[in-house]
Amino acid sequence: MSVAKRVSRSVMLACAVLMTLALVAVPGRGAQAQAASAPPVLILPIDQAQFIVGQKMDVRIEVWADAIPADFAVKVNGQDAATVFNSKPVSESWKFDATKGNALSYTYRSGLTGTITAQGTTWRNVSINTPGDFKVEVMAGGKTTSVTYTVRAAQSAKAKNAIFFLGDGMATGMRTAARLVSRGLNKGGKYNSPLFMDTLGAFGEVSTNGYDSIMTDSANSMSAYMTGQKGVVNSMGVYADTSDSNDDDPKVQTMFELAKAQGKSVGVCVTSRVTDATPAATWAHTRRRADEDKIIDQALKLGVDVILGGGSIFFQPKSVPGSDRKDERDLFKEFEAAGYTVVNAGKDLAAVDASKTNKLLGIFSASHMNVWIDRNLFPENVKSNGPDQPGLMEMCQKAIDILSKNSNGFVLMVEGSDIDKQEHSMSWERAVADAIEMDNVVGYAKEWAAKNGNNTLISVIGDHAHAFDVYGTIDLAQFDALAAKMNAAATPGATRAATTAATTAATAAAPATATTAPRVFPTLDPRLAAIGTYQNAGIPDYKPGKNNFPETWDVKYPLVISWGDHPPYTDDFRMDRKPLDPAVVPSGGIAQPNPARDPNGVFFTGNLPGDNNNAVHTLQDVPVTAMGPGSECFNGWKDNTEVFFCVANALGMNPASAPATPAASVVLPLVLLGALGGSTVLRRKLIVR
Amino acid sequence: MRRFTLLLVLMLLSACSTTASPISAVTPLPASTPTVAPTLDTSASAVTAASTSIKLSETLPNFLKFSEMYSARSVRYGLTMSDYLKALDGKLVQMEGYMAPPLRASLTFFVLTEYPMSLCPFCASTADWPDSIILVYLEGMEVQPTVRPIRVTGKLEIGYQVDAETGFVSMVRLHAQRYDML
Repeated sequence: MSVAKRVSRSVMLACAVLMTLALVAVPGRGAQAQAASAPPVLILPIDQAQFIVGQKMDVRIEVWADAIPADFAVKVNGQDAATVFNSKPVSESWKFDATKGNALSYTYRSGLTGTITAQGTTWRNVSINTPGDFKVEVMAGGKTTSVTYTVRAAQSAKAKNAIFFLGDGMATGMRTAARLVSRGLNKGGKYNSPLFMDTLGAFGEVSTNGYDSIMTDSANSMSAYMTGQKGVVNSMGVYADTSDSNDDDPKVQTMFELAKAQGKSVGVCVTSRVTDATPAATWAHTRRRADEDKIIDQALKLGVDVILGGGSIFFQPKSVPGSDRKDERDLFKEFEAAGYTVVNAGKDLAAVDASKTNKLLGIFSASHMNVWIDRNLFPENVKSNGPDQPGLMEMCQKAIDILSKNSNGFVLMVEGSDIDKQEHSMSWERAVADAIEMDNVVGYAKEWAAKNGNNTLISVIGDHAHAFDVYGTIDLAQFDALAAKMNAAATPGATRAATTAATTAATAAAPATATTAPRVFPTLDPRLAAIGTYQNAGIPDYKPGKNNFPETWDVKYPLVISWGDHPPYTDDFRMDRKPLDPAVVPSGGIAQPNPARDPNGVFFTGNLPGDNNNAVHTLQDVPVTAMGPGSECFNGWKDNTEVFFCVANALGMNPASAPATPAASVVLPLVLLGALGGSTVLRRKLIVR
Repeated sequence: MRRFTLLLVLMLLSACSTTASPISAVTPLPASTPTVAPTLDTSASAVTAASTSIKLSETLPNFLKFSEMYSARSVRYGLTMSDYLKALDGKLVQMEGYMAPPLRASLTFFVLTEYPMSLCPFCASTADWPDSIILVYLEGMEVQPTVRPIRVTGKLEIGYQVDAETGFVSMVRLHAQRYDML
């Protein structure tokens, strides 16, 4: 211990002694003084965290004080933590601003201000190998803070493989709209057929919030599924701490790490960048989802066997124009050196011989891939992004062909990435088409599982919701006729002026009262009369086409979508040929409708803060459907962290059974084991690394 | 049609001019310039041939077309700078294009694009940058946003840079000494 620390410890000790004396001398006041001096303590992982036996984690204690209090101690079920974890922790300190940055996950709306010093005590890469409840107590400044973890026993394996479908932003409203457009209603008012995801058997509802906020993003929500841990917005595979660094936050072992430890192969097939939050959360640990250059490095280190999607800008050296890396590394070369086959075009993907390939990296566009509608209907939107992009079906079929060769089994994550992205952009047709595309892959997975041993757990879930639903249909001919009438009544492009004139007239006409001015609102756009609700919605005229997509999206009575939250935008109710954001936000200004998108459309004022140019996530639970061994776990309502345990238990994950490294095992006293409750398989070593 | 007229005017001008001052002179367009809007020609051979036939000037602006900036584009290797572009580093260049919709009413920098962009590139979270753009800094000048084609003349700078104010990452920049509305 350094001299300075020794001195400060003496000082603290002296103060403690004096305070104790004060306590005796002045009852009541002393107690207040003691409470006031106890520094805040943050224990990570947080309270109520649950783990599978042997799941590796970091434990980090933060004491927000200028110095570690003299009485600082950490106990796990009454035993000294250093003994339990068989390692000494690392001590470090840092400062944070309580009103900004990473600390806001804990200080938001707390009233806390100023620069705070945090004393960190961290154990890295520890695990608890016996099931039971574990109370972690931290003594600091006379006060004890405690959290309780539950370590769950491993289950025997029921499934060999898991195919985890993630429809990003897909809740009930999206599934319903996709079914309507894809399958249609028959004359009896029943769907001609269900979506494949409707037919799986097990049915549940899952809540999606994190622990810093009711609203989640794709990072912490997917991380809950992939680690069994709640997180804060923008983080994955870690418990966010208050330090500025986004690389030092305490980690928890992810699904793909656990699967690799089981000897399984793992892979992702997505239409976003492969480093985007959802695929990243299957393997990565980071406080900051935007650190995608580090995220792909982690995939290389872990050896994720199949990676298919977009995002070459995070593979290219930074000197390549358009690259988003901050170093000169060429990740494509590095993956090749590690034995991966690397492809960048759909035709090259098709040519890959799965029987001879064990590791495949396929990156087909600079950033996110194009959506189904643009790849198949509007190729002019595709060229600059990536000239030869395969579909989700082609990518995932190749992934299954390669991964399934592993006799230990595999875990594949399939994402309909753009369901969410197009919900943000408020382009409902593009979102629905990508939901149908993902659903087709569900159908393929069902068939494949039936032909290949019936030992695959297939689950389909959303990470969070959008406020997306259908509230009617619109008669486009009537809309155009009403538009023509409006234009005849006013000069072209003067719709807004006409509305203002009507408002002014209304103000002038309204009787002035002695007390209050009359409330005046802009008049409704007359073209809204073309929308049919209730019986006037009728049945839309989408006709079934190839591969469960409608024959055409250009119908007479398209759906009218309810966007619960949105920036200001204009809408002409027809599908946009070019994918454009609904609003633009000038620097330092507030959102306004994108002038390039439906410029003559009906104007909808925004209901979001002015710095939003697109729609945001919403709170409602998401449905989950599943089939295969272990799928009954998904029935009923559950917290999103439980989804991890459904999959891990179905696969019989038992990280505690992994062989211990020789230098790092310690034998717990049998007495303590008894206190812990034991498990059906008696474990005498608390394995740490 | 507009380009044809421009070509005609320029050829007439060049016929009249004697030794014009370096900045205000209009470099005559090479005769091989097509009279219709150029399509993105991504074939490496076409671009290399054009670059070797143009001699660089130290004093007069060297005309640079968007299609001449990169000799190859691929998903894996991204954009490969052409020999012509690399040779122009630090030299006076002239480019024509359109202003991408900007952030503010009056600008000291903007993004020049080959074709009119209706979308504010800074604003769209999901839009991808088109290949044919260049960041233009206006040295000691301001410009009002316009949808008209614009010609900028100035020193080309190649190198990795992160703009301090916007965080915008660029590999190629044009420090404009002059701009003309077309």
